[in-house]
Amino acid sequence: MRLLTHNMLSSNIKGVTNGFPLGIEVEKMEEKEVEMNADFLRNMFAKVEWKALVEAAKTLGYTELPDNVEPSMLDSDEFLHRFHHALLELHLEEGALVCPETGRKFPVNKGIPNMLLHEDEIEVQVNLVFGSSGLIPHSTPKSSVVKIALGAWGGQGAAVVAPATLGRTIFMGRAGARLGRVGASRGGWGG
Amino acid sequence: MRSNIARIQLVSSHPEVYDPCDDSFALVDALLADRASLIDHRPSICMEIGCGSGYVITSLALLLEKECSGSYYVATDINPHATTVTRETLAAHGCFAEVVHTDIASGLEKRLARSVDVMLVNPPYVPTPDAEVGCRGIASSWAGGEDGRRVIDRILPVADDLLSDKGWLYMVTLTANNPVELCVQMRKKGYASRIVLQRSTEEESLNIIKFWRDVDTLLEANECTEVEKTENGAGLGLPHFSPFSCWNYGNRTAN
Repeated sequence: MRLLTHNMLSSNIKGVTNGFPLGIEVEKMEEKEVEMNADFLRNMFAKVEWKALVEAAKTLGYTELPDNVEPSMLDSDEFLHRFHHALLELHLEEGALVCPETGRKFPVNKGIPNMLLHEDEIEVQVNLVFGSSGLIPHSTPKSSVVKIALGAWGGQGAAVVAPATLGRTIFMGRAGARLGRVGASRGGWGG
Repeated sequence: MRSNIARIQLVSSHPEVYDPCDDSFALVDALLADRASLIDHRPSICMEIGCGSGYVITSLALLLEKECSGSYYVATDINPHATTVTRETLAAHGCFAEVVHTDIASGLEKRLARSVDVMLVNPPYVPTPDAEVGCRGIASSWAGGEDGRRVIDRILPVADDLLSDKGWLYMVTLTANNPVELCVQMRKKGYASRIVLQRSTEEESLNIIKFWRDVDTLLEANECTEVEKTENGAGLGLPHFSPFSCWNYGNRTAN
């Protein structure tokens, strides 16, 4: 994850009013050289929160950014190179981003920050229904993937999800109708 | 010579990640057809919501890499496997896009508000029971709830917040999602729109819609709102124009 992205992320937890900037915990960082584009840097300069970038760069061990900036500095090649390096070449590969208000950590694994909130991670029952992804062949349009999954569910999942009753029963009817239609046109999805 | 869209052999995969298929190809074909305007557009920030295999964002990055070398690409997905697969697909093509594991654009909304110049969305558009919406894994790539609109209807307000003044949004929809109604809704927020590609496959009837902020549309939408307010004192009722007028056909091109 580049520091540009760190500069664009803020804590999304309900009730947090001051979620920026996220703190950084570093387990592993990398430097990856990329070609400099001065126009892009000039564009981004207006969007970047400078103080947050300076602090983030320091956390990753880069201390060459000036604490105070003004747009005229964009005329300096040396400044552009430092800005470019901090913004685009320093990567947080493993570690965490920390909400400044609550201390909640958002893990960063393989350079991918995980901003999903805990509440969004509870879908266990539904997973049982669609869990049998082994049945789904690759390169299948989304619509047919659903039909196949529904077929699997109708056939063997009913007992598993017995508590989810009424809505499911109606769904069976719709699914049945769709499966029937597919069956007529395609000779069935059974195999 | 290097191909200017992602190569299917280099697209990574995972059992829990939707592989590129007709819908993905249709979206990339629409981008290819619009390549010249995209290059003129010179987007600084490009974003894909729901990147799946990474085929689409990689294709966009390759499509623009020569002419717009300095763009910043961000891709999000709620499915953790998709974020990993997207990163692999990008790496296999020598591209870089930031991949964020999140729900739509959560965590990016504040700082990227009014900043995204090109947004790509291939949403979970398949009509399913509402209970299936929000499940994890591969189901998140298709389960669209009633009329396949549950996630689309959550994405569009976010897109409106994130798109810059010159922002463009390309979105995959099914005819079952009622694209005309989507255009009407977006028109009320000041977006012109056009169905840039239609394709019927054996399974589905796909429409790629392009939305863009348009001053005339915004003025018209505001006038419309004013008229409705004075007429019935309530909020927006049914639109006063034919739903088809939202399609900006003809010679007019996106600015």
